[in-house]
Amino acid sequence: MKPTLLLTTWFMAFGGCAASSSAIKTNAKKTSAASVLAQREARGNRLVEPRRGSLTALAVIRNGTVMTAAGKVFAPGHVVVNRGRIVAVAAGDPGKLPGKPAWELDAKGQFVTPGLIDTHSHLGVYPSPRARAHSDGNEATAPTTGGVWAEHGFWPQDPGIQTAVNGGVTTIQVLPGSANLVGGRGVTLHLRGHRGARAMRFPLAPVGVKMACGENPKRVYGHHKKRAPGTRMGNVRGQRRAFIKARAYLDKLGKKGDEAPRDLELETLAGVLRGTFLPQVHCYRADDLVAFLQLADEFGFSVRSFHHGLEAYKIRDLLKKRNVAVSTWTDWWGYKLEMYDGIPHNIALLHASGVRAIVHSDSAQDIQRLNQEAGKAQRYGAEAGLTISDDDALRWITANPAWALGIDKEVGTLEVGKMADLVVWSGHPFSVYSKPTLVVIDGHPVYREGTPPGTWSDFQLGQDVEGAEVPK
Amino acid sequence: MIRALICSSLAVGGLVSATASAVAATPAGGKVACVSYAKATVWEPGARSAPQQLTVDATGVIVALGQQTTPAASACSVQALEGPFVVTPGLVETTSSIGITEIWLEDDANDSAAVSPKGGPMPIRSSFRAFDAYNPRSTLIPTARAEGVTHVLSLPRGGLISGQAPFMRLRGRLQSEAAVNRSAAMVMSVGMGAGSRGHKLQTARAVLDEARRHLRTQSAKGARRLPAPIGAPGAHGTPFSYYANLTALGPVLTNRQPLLVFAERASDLEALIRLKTEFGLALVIAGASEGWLLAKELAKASIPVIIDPLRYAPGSFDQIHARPDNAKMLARAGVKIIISTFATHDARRLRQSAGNAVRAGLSPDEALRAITWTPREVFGSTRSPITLGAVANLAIWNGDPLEPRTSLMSLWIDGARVSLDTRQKRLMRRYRDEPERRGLSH
Repeated sequence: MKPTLLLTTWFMAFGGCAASSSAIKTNAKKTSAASVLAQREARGNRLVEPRRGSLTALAVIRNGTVMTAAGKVFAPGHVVVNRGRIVAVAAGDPGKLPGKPAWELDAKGQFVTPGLIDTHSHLGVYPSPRARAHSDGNEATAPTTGGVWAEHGFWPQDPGIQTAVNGGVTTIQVLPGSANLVGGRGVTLHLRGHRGARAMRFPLAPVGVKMACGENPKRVYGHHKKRAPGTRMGNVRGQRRAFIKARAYLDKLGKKGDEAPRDLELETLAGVLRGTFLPQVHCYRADDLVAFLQLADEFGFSVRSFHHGLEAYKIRDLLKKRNVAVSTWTDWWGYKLEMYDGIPHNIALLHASGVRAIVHSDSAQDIQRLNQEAGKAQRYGAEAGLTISDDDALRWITANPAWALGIDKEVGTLEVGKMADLVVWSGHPFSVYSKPTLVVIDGHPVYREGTPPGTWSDFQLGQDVEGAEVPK
Repeated sequence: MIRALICSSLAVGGLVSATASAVAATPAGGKVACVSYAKATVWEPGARSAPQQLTVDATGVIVALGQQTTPAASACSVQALEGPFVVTPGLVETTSSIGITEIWLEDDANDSAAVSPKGGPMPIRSSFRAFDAYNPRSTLIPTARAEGVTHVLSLPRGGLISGQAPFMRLRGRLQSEAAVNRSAAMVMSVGMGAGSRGHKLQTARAVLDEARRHLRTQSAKGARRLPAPIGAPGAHGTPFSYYANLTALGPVLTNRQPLLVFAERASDLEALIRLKTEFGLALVIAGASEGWLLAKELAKASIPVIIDPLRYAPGSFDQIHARPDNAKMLARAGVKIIISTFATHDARRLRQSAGNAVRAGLSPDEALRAITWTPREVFGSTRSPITLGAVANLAIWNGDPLEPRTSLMSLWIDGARVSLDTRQKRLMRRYRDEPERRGLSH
């Protein structure tokens, strides 16, 4: 990619409607806060390592049960990919192709779904194996650290990336941890191996901003470090203070333009206030969720997704009204008091009320089986008397997380024009016995059943030298 | 004859409405109330029946199975539930702390660990009996039960030797009613952590050795002539608790009580095999992510292994060689395997764990055995087969129990049918049904 193109890319990503490619040619004299911010973002976001390209040729999967996560299931159906995009998805056989495919698969007896998307991962920032030297997910030195970016802590050699891909995951949002009221910037990654994190960034994905309420910040600071915040009161005060500063910073940018000093903490929150960055808010208890919505109203921004939200089922009317998604587990609960009212029917109840429900992992283990977790949440829905179709439940791990990350125009369903991220499963994706036989990103097969694991991570390479056969 | 069609409300507690864990049977017309499951495929490890009728009477005994009946069956007033069902033994979770932990992060609601009064390190806690802390009214009990778990080994936590784990049935008003064995295993942990893993084994060996001498001294010359404690007084707690701790290791040293040791790395498993041989222990290893590397040796040493089929990534430096088919490879080598969630609140995922072992190549029968019979055998309980005249220990499912999309329809624990309601289902119903909780009546 040429640098000018890159700049354009990042203007589109961060500048929203106010910025356009023409803004590149303008300079600091233009005193729109939006254009100043966009230029600053562009400067901080140049690529050093180029992103690996899409498959340039045709590819086709025939004869499988195609679950589109867009309301249609084709059994049997086909998916045709060209230049990294889906160009056909329909029932029956694709017929004559316009060229020779780079790869093709007869998926008889198998199921095809969109690539799975996890809105909440700490892969790379809390990588495997667990190690103090790699504990890079919580900048727990101050409670508001909007200036830190998950991508700067992300270790692309984390063996967990490969195991997630092997489980059918193609895109993840890596978030800073929940120690801080404002934890910093998350990053949405496309799971193709690169040497640095930035080149893994999902093209044009907006920035997610991690914030947290409830027990974690007050425990980390008040209880362990004997400093603010030490209560839920202190949590909300800390966040309001931060947004007051961010508002003042935006005003200053508007007046002084590029002469206004840079402030990494506030540039992130300014993106939230301007609506270009997506708030991703760790929060469990219903009253904590409501308190955060009040804060969002006070400063005029929308929460994109609550994360964990174990009590979201108690306020699903409010969440529906405000169009807030909920990313959560199917059945985790009880480890701490704010998780005590967690119920496994949460996802189904939210879904039935029109809230975008999302199964997330927050775990290097569960990310490998998001499909099972979605199937389980569907069954708990049945226990609550709710009938939810397979294709709808599939949206909890595909289309809905894509929306929460602001990339739903690009991925999340099998529809013509979307990126060719997809998974072929050995059986029904909600069966415990099914596993991916093929995982495709950008049209490229990135996992095939039977391939040895750990092919990307250098860490795993050579761990088994002792015990291997000596060549004759 | 009452004929009730089974429906989804059963799973959320519709039919099973009693709040006590055991549901009382009501006599009708001088007859005894019995429950009958139609089209029930009885699946025990290694055997699957054709669909048949299975009837349990009010005393919790299986009085009819297929064409066979006991004399008691003639006194039955039958409530018949339509299948098809799959009936298995109740599931056993061996590495949870159900009943001794309600909320991990609240000290007042977490009784899983004995700690030193001075807050210092206390590696040896063998006289700590977790049974004394067991709360039969914990909300975790019905929650695990609702997914088919009927028995747990409830583990104390922390230290090198954490204490004694009771084997509990998940019903009963009293601790004593719930207890199957108040002290079914001694719990220990080795492997990575502060200091060398070798030091943990060094300490374990020294304590076991001292406990052995202590036992001999006690029996030969009376309890007053005690050996000197290892290191400075207080190093293992107060001298008093130290002697109590040595005494408590008696059943372990005489091979009457299993020593359950958490260990993951292959080299630790090898070191534990040596420990077993030296002291003649009934050793059980929990974790064993790298067990497949030592499958032959574990089989030869007759060491049962508790594994989590969901942990197949190199999560820690002790699990670099973890792989999905660990269970299959161990079973193939002849190691007795138990499948576990290694979780307390999430113990209800047990059947999903077993299903994942099957996904990775274990046979369904081996997986079922690893969550039913084997844990019972290893921790000293009976198998509780599903046969005519047997006390009912039954999990009744609407499909394949290893599939997370299958629901539990009914559960019998040691002869009593238990409620499948949970605090979570009540929260669900409250927020599903009550208008003021749904924001509809403002």
